[in-house]
Amino acid sequence: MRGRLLEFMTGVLFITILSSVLSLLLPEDMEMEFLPIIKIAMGIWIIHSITAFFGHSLF
Amino acid sequence: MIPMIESIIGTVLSSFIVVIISTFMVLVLDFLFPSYSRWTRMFLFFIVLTVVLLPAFEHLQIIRSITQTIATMFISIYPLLTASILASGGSFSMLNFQPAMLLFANGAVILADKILIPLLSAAMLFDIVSRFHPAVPFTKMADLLRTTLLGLVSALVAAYSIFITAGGTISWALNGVTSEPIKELIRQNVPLIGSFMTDSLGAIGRYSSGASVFIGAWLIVTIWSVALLPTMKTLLTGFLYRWTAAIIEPFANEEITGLLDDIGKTLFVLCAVSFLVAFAFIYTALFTVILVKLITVAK
Amino acid sequence: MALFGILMVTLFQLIVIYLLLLIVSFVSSSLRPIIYAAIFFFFLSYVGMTIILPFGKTFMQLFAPLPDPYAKLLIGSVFLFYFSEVIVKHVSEAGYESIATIAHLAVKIAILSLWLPQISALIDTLSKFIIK
Repeated sequence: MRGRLLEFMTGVLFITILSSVLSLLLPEDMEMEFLPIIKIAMGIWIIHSITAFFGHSLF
Repeated sequence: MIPMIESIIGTVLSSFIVVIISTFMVLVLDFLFPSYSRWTRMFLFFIVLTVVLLPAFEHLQIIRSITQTIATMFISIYPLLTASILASGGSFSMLNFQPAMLLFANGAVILADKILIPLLSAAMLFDIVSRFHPAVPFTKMADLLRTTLLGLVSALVAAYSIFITAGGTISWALNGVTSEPIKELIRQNVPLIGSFMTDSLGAIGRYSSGASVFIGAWLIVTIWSVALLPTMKTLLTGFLYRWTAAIIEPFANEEITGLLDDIGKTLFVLCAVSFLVAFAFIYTALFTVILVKLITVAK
Repeated sequence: MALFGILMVTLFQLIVIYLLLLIVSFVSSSLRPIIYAAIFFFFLSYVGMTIILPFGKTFMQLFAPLPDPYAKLLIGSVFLFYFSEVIVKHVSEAGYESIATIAHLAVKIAILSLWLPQISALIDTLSKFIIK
């Protein structure tokens, strides 16, 4: 259980830092268009972690 | 006591001064180059995180290592303790010592080590992440974790109070009618964990007043101060975080003040967890001392 | 007082440049873009040398108490960003906007790579929370 939690937290941290650094590179008006992609990535990661926690595997 | 407070304020204050100076710098930069404000915001966040996180992280580390030490200590001496309890027979019945209580207190420490502290650091990380990238917030999760932890710890302390029912021979200050105003003061002024603090202090006090018949009051005071020192440090640091957030709120970024506030809250919850650990430490120490005394007297 | 003199000189130069550009556009409008560009870069380098860079240095000294690389990094990257933005604006005024955005992106990446050690230190500190 601990290992899963660590994995989940690491993923969340890395997605956040990566996406915020990437969105700095984009022009200001394109940041809003980029946002859904970040949200999709975060959502997939969360759902994946939950399913992996209960023993199923999404991928 | 005073040098300890001074050293804490010194280390924490220097990092907060850095935060204030960098806030001013960012304000000037924002005025000069408005198109750069997104970047300055991000880099200010970097600076603040690297500077401010260290004291909080150190406290988490200290409490974590203390918890681990107590847990391993308990696991190693538990067979010895049970053997000597069996050997000493019924002499424990004269005091309100329950060996089950010892098991319970140290079980709480192991719980803290395995579940509470990892969850707490997870809550802190969720706070940081949601302030770092406000478009992908985790604030509800962090709040949920914190309140769950607080509820769990409060339930454990309530269980302690149920265990320790009988009063000691020496009435202890926090139990008396005279201390009600002090209790009320703590309850009102320490956010989140105030009432919990008075409860646990009362439980610890009630227990050690019973034990002070057997061992000197000075020993109890020593054990108290040793066990409660990290807790007090954590409490003071949490207060410093929240005060700084309150002071810089008018001119700093909302994210920065929110982050400081969140870290302060998390430190308060950490303080609550460390009360559990302190209680287990006090209980185990007094138990061992009394056991040794009983065995030597019996011989 | 010296700063005041420099400011006054710069203001005067601005007026002279403006008049010069007006005259150029009156005389031959086909020559105007190249003269405009030349004067722009000349003026930019002059103002940068006399005002912006000295100001940046005093600014850095003002915020010396910050931990070591941060003040320098922040101010340096701000100036880098500013110069690139000004040039980008100029190029896009001439009608070559897409080239300008590529250059701007390159400067942004350069600024980020300046900050890379700090970012990795931050990630280290944060992952200490989760890795036991």
